[in-house]
Amino acid sequence: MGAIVTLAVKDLRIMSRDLLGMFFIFVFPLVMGLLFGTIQASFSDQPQEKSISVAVTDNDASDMSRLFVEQLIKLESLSIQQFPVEQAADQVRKGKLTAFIEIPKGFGETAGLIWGKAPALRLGVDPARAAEGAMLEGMIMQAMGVLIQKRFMNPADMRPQINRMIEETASDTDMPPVQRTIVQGLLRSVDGFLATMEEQVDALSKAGDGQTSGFGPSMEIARIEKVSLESAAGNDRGPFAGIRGRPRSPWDISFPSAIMWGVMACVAGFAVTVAKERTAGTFFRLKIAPITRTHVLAGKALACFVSVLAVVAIMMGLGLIIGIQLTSPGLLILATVCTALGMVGLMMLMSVIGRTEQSVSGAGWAIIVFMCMFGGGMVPLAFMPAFMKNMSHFSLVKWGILSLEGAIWRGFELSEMLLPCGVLIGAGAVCFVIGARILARVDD
Amino acid sequence: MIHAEHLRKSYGTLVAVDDVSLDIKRGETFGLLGPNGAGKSTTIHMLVGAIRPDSGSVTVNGASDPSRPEVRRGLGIAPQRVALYEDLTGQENLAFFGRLYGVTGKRLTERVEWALDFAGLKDRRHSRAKTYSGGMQRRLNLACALLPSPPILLCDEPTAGVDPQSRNHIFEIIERLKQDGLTVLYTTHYMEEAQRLCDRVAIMDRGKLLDCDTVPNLIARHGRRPVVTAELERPVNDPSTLPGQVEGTSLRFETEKPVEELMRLTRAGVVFKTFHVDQPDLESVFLTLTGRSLRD
Ligand SMILES: Nc1ncnc2c1ncn2[C@@H]1O[C@H](COP(=O)(O)OP(=O)(O)OP(=O)(O)O)[C@@H](O)[C@H]1O
Ligand SMILES: [Mg+2]
Repeated sequence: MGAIVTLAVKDLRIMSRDLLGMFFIFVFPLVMGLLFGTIQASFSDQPQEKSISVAVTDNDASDMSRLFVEQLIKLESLSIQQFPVEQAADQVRKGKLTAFIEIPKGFGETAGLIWGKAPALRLGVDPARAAEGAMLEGMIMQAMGVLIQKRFMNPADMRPQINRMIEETASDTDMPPVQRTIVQGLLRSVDGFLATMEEQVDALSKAGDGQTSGFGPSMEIARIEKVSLESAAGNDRGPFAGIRGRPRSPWDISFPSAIMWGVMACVAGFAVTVAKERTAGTFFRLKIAPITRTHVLAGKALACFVSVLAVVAIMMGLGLIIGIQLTSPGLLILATVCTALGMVGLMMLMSVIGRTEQSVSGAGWAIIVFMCMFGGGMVPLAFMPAFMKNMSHFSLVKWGILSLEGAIWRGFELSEMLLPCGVLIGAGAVCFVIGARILARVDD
Repeated sequence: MIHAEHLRKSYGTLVAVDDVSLDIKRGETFGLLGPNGAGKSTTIHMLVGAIRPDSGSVTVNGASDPSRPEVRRGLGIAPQRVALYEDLTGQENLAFFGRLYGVTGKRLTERVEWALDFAGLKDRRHSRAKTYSGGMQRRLNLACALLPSPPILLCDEPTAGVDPQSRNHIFEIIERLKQDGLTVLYTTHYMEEAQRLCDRVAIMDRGKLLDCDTVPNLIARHGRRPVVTAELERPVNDPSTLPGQVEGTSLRFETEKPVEELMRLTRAGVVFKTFHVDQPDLESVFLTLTGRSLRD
């Protein structure tokens, strides 16, 4: 154990001396977090007095359905609660609530896309309050409208900021060329993505001229199936029992992504130190020292693990200062530990991708960009096309973000944490074993 | 202390080490002398268990697996390639490797001081290793191996790129440690070093161990005889009375006993202006054994 700690302390010390590495671990993610948080904040309204009480059941539990619920929550004349559908129907029947909305499975795939045929929302209204029910229908349209807007309108707002960042990066002479190329590539890919979205918006507004103006009675925006209260209880429950929590500050959404950026930078940093030890011959020196290979790997893993914990702790600390309200500190610790374990495995695998520091650094950053892009670290998953969402399952970033969000604002139960945490630990273990095997082979 | 039998290691079709057996005794300084690519480093790496031999066996201090931590703790190894953490200071590098070898606390502090002094880095101790000159790094590389005061030291060309003064300093320290009973395996392609430091020398070339003995024995067995070159005051009347080749006033001959031969010639009336005796050395041993010069 002593040797493992000695090795880990050595790595942490070396890491802390790498100023550029520190920038990518702490400063860059923080800037991203604040930037995206600000963008998100500009969309949200101030909380208002609520009047119509509505229960929402989210059977889809997709990011789009969550966004939809968030939009309903933001509407000033609605007071939203979340229940299982049986209970919701029961409450309406008892007159405690005006109506319930059940979001069907598969809703998120096409919701907000005008050409998509989304499964119908199920709406059950207290027969005694039909007038409010009609108002509610209008408000559902409004919420759907925001979804459409969210899907398509952001790009124009975000592009100038992205472009400014590209220019700044280009003129930053301190940044090594490899990193600069990668960061610029990353920013350009975001910009390109936004540009395509803008074109779609344009095309859409031209095609839509005279067809659908406003959100009137058009059922293309949202299909609503009215149900009688007796048949309301559906059986097709999603993997999550619906979101209990909701974001309470704009940072709630942007910070988990920002934290993951820092974590990934940390992972890349350690992967590079493994390559560096191999090229500098210190790995050989460790090989001939009175320690086993297990010690060497455990030392690296421990150092990486500790620094991921530190990144999350420091970023979370800053987040709390600027207004994140943490739902469950216990689950945050769980999420952090599982994320760190997953990332240790990823680091191990990343470290054997190339033989030199440059190749590991280049390939490592490419993986990071890929995982962040598909995992919701750059553009929130909700804004992504379906194929990208499917890809996101392969991104440890997505699961890391989900576990952090589960603890920060989603109000996950312990049982709901098991999926993301399990994926993180499982994938981490697999990556670690593969990485360690390859390292052992190239080393002999 | 270190015993190897029939070690063999090949990389593809290239046989790097071919049937090498050696036996290094306690307290002995054993030299492995050979040109680039002879297989010296490969041999050392097999002796310490860093490379698995294709065949053959190694015992270090009676243990048959040198990669076991208990065995390794007694082995100070200075690799041929400088292997240091360049973002750590000299002092931190020493302390780190010391801890890996189980040196801690007050003893660690003392040993680090000793090693800094040995490496001549006391006033640069807080600078990062990457700011050191090549020679300083090499001295630190060796100091890291000596820090845990191991009973066995294996150093792979520790003096390459070190200035003559530091080189002398390194020799002095190794000689002092020898007196305290340190066993040393020393590889080099400088025959002067092998001649000065080593009790026994093994000559290696192209993976093969050609011979192994004390320096005088090796020279006696394979070296040519001493060569005398001289310049005479005046040409002799009858050159056939002189040994070797004569050209005008120049004389060159080989002899087992150069001093006796010179005195005999003086008594016979030959007057020398200058003379020079070329003693045989390991270079000539190598030349005899391989037909090539060590310097090639
Ligand atoms: N990892 C390897 N892969 C392929 N060939 C190798 C490897 N290591 C050593 N060799 C070859 O084995 C031979 C012996 O190399 P070795 O390093 O043992 O020589 P050396 O005597 O230490 O030489 P030097 O004085 O240059 O250090 C060389 O021909 C070298 O090319
Ligand atoms: Mg060598």
